[in-house]
Amino acid sequence: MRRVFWMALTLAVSSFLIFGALQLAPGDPASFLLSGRSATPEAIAAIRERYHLDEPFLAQYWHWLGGVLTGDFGRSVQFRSDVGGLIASRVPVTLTLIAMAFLLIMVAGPLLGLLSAARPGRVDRSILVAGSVAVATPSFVLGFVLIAIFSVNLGWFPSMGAGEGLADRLHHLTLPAIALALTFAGVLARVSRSAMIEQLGQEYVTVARGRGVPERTVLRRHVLRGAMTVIVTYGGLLVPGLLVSTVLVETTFGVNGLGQLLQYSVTVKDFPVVQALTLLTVALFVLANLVVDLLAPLADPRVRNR
Amino acid sequence: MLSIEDLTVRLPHTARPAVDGLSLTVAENETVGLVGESGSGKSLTSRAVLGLLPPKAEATGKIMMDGADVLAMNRAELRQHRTRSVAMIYQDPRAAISPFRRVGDFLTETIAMDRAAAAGLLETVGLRESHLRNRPHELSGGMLQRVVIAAALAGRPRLLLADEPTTALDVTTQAEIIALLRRLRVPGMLFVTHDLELAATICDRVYVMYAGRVMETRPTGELFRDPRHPYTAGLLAATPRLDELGTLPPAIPGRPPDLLAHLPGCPFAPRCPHVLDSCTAGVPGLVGGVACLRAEELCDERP
Amino acid sequence: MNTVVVRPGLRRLKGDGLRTAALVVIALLVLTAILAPLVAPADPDAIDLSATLAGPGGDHLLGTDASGRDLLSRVIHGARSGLLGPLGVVAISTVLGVLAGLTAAWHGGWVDTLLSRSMELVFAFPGLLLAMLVVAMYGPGQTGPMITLAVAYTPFVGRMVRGVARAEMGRPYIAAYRALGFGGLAICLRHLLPNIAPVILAQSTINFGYALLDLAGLSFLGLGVQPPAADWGAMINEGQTAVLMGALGPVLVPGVAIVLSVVAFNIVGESLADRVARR
Repeated sequence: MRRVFWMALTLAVSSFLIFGALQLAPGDPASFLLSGRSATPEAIAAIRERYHLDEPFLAQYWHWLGGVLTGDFGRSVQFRSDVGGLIASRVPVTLTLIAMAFLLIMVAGPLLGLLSAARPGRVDRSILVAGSVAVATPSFVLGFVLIAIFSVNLGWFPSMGAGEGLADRLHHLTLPAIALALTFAGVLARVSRSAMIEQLGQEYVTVARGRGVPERTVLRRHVLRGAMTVIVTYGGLLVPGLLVSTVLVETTFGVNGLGQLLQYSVTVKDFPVVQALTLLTVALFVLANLVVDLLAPLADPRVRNR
Repeated sequence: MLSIEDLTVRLPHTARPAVDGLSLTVAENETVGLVGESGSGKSLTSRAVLGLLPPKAEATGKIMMDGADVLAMNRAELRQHRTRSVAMIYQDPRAAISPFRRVGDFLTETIAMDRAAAAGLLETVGLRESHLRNRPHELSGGMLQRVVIAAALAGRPRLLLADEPTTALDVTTQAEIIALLRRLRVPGMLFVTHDLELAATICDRVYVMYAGRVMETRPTGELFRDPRHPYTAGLLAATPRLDELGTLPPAIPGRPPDLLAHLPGCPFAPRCPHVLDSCTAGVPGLVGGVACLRAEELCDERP
Repeated sequence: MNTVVVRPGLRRLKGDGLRTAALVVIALLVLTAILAPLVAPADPDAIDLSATLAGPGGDHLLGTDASGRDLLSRVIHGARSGLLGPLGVVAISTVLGVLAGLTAAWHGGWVDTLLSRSMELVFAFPGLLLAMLVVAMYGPGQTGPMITLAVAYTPFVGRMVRGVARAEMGRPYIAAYRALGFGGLAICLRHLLPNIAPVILAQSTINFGYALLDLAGLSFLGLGVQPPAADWGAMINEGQTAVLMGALGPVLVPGVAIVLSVVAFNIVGESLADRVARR
């Protein structure tokens, strides 16, 4: 309960800051919202009306928050449409991209971590070095390398766009998902490795070996299972970071999802869109923390039954 | 059945072997005690019999189990050895069973068996079929130790290694577990403990170990009546007796040596009340079941 | 089980070669940034339309970009903004974080609660996101994102300083200084801070790598350093089209510079952290 309260408070304060940013922006909020274009007096009046700019700041915030809570994020000046609808239309692409990357991360990370933990020495060291390089490689640099190899040279994957229909979409999003996943997989591999090294030191792992349980089974049923709580917790917390990183990857691959929308909106100062996407990311951060807090104990029977 | 010949185990970054030239036998239908303070190498010895040495440990000598050398086994042979011929019971059952898995999974993870067989195993150790679905945290320490014993019996092993099987349990449960172990009638048992008194209640023969070496080995009755090695005598004197409750028995002065210390000659010499200069000159061999230069002499001195 | 005593220090040798290599890389980077005009073989902004997208070798050691500019010279000059930006982020966030962490640890009570909660709140805003929000307000550039990222990185330093400082304050020497009549500020600055400095240095070195990544990302998005300036992120932004034309060089050269720098800072940072942890 306490946790939920802090999360609600985090969200409330964040939304206040995000809305307040409008006041901090240089110039008159109304003309700022019109992206500095020379607008007609009527247009400015409409904006003032819509954002209640003639009322006190707190009242403005209250109106805006009320709108946000009912799905009304305001109007995009650039796209001449509702921000809510604009975002909703971009969600499926980004969601698919994140899901694909997440899958890659949750498979590759623990697997590499397990390999690293189970084979100390050369294998472990190579994975550690590869991991540090992975963590230091920007997704867009990897993205362009992938494009150069698999799109331009080999022609296996398209270099741009998000595709139509499921199969085509997965085909289009394969390279972006790999580019998005690499850094996070490197981080998760490192976390998994230390969790599994801890497991390997557990008495029940030694006991299982001493009972003649095959090494493969020991690693899967005992080591991996025991490290699962840590892996799931950490994996879940990576999701908000994935959303932020889609900005870079979608820009690299010309994928018209939320990330590209954010990049474009920031470039053209389409502030309502930026506000909405920022709030959405913060909300996802809070949500991921909440879900992980609630789910992680389920992986441990000792806590579950309490 | 089990015959350990001149086993030496060296651990990395240590000055002396943790197990040093140890020889030991367990015959058919015999329960043998391996007694020593913590750090004497007794647990390492029992784990070596399973072929379960810490990484980077170096072992020389022979561990012959029914004619096959454990130290020379390949992966498949070792698995067969661990599932079918030798099984171990551990000190802390709560650490020995993965908290994430059910009792039933633990019982059946080495050998394929049906539910009835698993339930039968539980009955032999005094548990019910319904316990199969329990998680380890739902059971008491004594019940968990019964589960560990049941699992050890799963492969019908010829030799049972019991490594301090009652140390982590309360007194009543200890007695129950000991009674259970006596009732089981496994062909052979190596009972590892720091408690000489406990070893006496269950073992036919006892090896007293100190700093990786056997100090004395005799049939239990003889050993208790007439300990020949000063270390055994010290251990016996340090055991609290029921008839002398209230007075603390005299402990052996000093502490067991750690693995970083070189020990020339008899390892017990620094703590021995009867030590002579010659004790540190060379390692005393086992003569008449005692590894002490002054065994005969001290025996004669006694009334 | 038998307790095995492992002599400490035997494992120390592992990784030392790597750390030395990383330190050399950092030293070379710094030198390159300072001496850029002297080291660079050509003018980084000199356009030569007769030699566009040239491959490595010949007149241009690492090739040229779509405008025929020498990539080696550009990447050398790029080390300046590449290192200055993160340096600013780390300097500001370290000062802010140490202030916040020490204040929270020293005062405790509601001050601690307020500062800790505020830092947790900032955690909810990833650095890149916060920087974009600010760019949307004030427009692209290097200063705005730098300050914003510094704010976003402050809790990482602050939380750690608070933890270490609290542990350190339980030790007798602090009480001794207090008994001698030293003021809180004096003790913090003269005695507490020097003792926790290694931890701060380790964290800040690691942060340097991440700040470099974030700033390069912003420049790549066209929201940080603006083309045609010779900046690694901006170079990648400009090099995108070349990739589709089959020339990876304009992206790969600054990309490798980024990866190399970040790996070097991470290795040094982590070996510092290891060393602190071992004490």
